Amino acid sequence: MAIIAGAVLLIAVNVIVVSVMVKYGQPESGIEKTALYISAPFQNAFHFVVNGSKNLWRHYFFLVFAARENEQLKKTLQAVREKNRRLAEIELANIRLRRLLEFRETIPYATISAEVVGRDPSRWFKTIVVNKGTGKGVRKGLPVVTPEGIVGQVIECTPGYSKILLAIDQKSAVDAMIQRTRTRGIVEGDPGGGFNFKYVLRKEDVRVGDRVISSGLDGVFPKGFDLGHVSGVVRPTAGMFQVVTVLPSVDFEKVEEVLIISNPPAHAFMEEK
Amino acid sequence: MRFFQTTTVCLFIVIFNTAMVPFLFFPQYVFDPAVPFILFMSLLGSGRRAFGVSAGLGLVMDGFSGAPFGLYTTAYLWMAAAMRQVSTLIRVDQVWMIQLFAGLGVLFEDMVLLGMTALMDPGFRIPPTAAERIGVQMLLAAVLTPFLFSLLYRMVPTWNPSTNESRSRSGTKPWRTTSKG
Repeated sequence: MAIIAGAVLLIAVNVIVVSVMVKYGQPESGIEKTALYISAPFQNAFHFVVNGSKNLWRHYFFLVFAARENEQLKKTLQAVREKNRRLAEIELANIRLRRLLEFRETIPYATISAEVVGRDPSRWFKTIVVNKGTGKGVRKGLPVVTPEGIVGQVIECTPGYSKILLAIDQKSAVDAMIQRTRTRGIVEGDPGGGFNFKYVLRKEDVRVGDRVISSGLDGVFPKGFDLGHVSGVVRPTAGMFQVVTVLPSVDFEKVEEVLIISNPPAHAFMEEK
Repeated sequence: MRFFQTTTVCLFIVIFNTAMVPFLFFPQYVFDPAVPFILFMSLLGSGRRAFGVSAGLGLVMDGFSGAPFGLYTTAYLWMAAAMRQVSTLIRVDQVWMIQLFAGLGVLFEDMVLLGMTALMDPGFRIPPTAAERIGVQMLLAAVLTPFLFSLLYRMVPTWNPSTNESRSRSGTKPWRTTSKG
């Protein structure tokens, strides 16, 4: 009973003291300052340790997980990049094939599409190998074209593959004409990688920039296919012919897909043969 | 095993020449890797193997090339014959010799391809840049052939110590990396 009374009294005194303190403020004394002076460094040290531990966790142990995550993300990025590269390649192939298809629909001949699978091993001769042969109806002598223009002529066939002599090879010759003036000549491959437009008479009007197209008179290449444009004209003081150089419209180093014309127009003189 | 390894190297050379070279920078300056391989086989392999490889590789190259048929085979076989003959007369056991013969081999191959085509086809003109291109090819062949030899030495165990004096007796490399004193 006495304990309960004592406790009630103590609570009452405490409440009264706190009320008085709230009302009149804390009396000035050196105890708090001393306590603060002594305890603050410890609090500071404790705070430093806690914060240090937190930082250690966040910046070191947590980094181990971050590093793992980083590795994972790098792998994902690599896979995405690879996929992106493949998609870009597919997109480019799609553009090329679409152009080839559109071109195929514009020409009035049956064609066989083929992919370039190899090139001439020597650095002096210009041939390519494509993945279509006699098995698909390819035969020796057929003309080969792309949307950009004439590529060359089939010179050898196996059931699965064909070898094509590029128009820029020295052994190649295409009967051609200037589109603007209908001036005729023979386009031959130049050792430098372009064309020489030969046998053009001096009197003929040929200008730099003129388009050169196939004339269709050689019995191999149909008429009207692009060969390139005139890049230089020299009229020597002597001689019958001009020296005309032609820049090919086809980038022969980058040809990847071609069309082989399987039913080129036959000329009367060939039929007679 | 040897046959498989030799065939693999030949196949790689054909693929390199017909499919990979166009994608390299300055493909016109790339020399034919068949030259170091034929030199290697002629120096270190048996005659039968060296001539077999030269003929096989030459026929395949001729099949792919627009050059008159037989030029590659001719060039490779003569190269192999010359190298075997040379190795009986002098000891080809130093790096500079390998480099010299590699350069000469490239020159010989280009001379055969261009020269014989020019002789057979009057309309054929030798490109005006031919000298520069052959020069760079020879230089590259001289620089890279010792490395290719080291690589081939590890890949193709055609070592045959009994066939030539200049060849290794202990399985070590046949050429020295420092010149004789």
